[in-house]
Amino acid sequence: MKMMENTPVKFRILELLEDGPKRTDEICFKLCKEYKGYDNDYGRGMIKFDCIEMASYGLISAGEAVIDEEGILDKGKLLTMYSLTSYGSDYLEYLKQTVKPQKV
Amino acid sequence: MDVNEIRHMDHDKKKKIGLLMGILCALYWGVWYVPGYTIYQSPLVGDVYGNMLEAGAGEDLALVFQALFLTFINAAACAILLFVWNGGLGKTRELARTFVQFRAVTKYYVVAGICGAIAVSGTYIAALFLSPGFAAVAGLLYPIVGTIMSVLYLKQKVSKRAYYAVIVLVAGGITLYGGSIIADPSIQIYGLIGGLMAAFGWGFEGVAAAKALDLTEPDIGIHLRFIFEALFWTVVMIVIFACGFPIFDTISWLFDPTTFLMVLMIGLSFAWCYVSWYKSFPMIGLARGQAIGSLYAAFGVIFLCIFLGPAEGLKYTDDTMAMIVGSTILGLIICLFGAYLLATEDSEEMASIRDGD
Repeated sequence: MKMMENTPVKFRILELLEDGPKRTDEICFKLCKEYKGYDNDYGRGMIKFDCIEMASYGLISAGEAVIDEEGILDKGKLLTMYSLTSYGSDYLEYLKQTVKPQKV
Repeated sequence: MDVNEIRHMDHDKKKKIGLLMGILCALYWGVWYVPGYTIYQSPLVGDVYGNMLEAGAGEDLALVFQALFLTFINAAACAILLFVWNGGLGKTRELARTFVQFRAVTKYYVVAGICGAIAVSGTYIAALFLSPGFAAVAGLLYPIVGTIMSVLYLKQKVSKRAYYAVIVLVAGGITLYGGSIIADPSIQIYGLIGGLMAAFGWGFEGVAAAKALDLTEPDIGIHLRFIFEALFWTVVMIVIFACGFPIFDTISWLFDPTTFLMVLMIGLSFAWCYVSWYKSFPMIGLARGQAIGSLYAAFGVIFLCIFLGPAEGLKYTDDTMAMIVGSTILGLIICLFGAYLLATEDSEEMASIRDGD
């Protein structure tokens, strides 16, 4: 069950990475469908920037990367594999106990 | 270009965005001093003092009430203007989604809002009872509080170079105002308390905000913080009003076009200053963000000199001119060196501000 549905985007990114590492495009294309108003380049850009901020904060870590030659998300930029760090998993556990489930 | 080169460029870009945000914060903060100073000439804030005296408050209390009223107007203007900002960015739904998660994150913004409220009113009080220079110096000590807490509580890593930069920037800021403090060394207890409120208020606000910013967007975080600060001041104003002081008597002056423009300028400069302050934390970490943000003292001096003239901006007389202008220029040079230390730091050092695994 998606406990973090309709909660802030960063909460949902943590939950999405719980069952294994995922690449930027996978995260962006999946989440932009879940959040109203995000299914466009601007919305996906915001989700990508959220990933960058979370990696900077050490909640998720950036692993292998490939260059986006085909322009799946952002031509010529990196598609990075993100995974949860132990700090991120601790945070996710904290969220599971504190988050108020939202009606979708 | 290979993957590693692009990654290095991305890290470089992240550092540049973080530093740029810190500098923008300092710029807007510095600019804010100009309308923040001139609004005392408007009856909206200026007449509050007289009204409080008439209602039976002592001179000191009337000054404090006047400062609190201005802080209330400032916070309310920011909270309202940020609706336009977040509406334009398409983030109003994210704001609502974050707002309801009180136990998970929003509670930290309540703390940040109250700490911020203490800090801002502290600087006004310090400025009123001592001098604007002393208020600025006291406020400048906040990166020290923020840096210590970011290491102890947030477990962020701070490089040796970042520590040096914090120390140099704080020393630069103190030197900036050193001349005016030596020229007028009279210290009043209210002013000292105000100064301490500023240093600890902003330091702890940064810590509470950085904790919640782990999992929220900076634009949303700052808006929540201002909403809570505005609510806090509304309650304080109502309590003052209930105690028989006509604090809201001048509020109709908001409809005067000149006053409205001043409030708009105060709101825009303060809101954007805070937006960029919060945006810098995830990119370069709390310690560096606060250190580079402390350049506000330098920009404040520069803008006050531009708009009010050097004599009024720096408050010197013929006797004290050499000392005050000299210490200001020396302070500016030290600040520039501190900013240089941060700007030339290797971007790989801050690729992640925590040790990940």
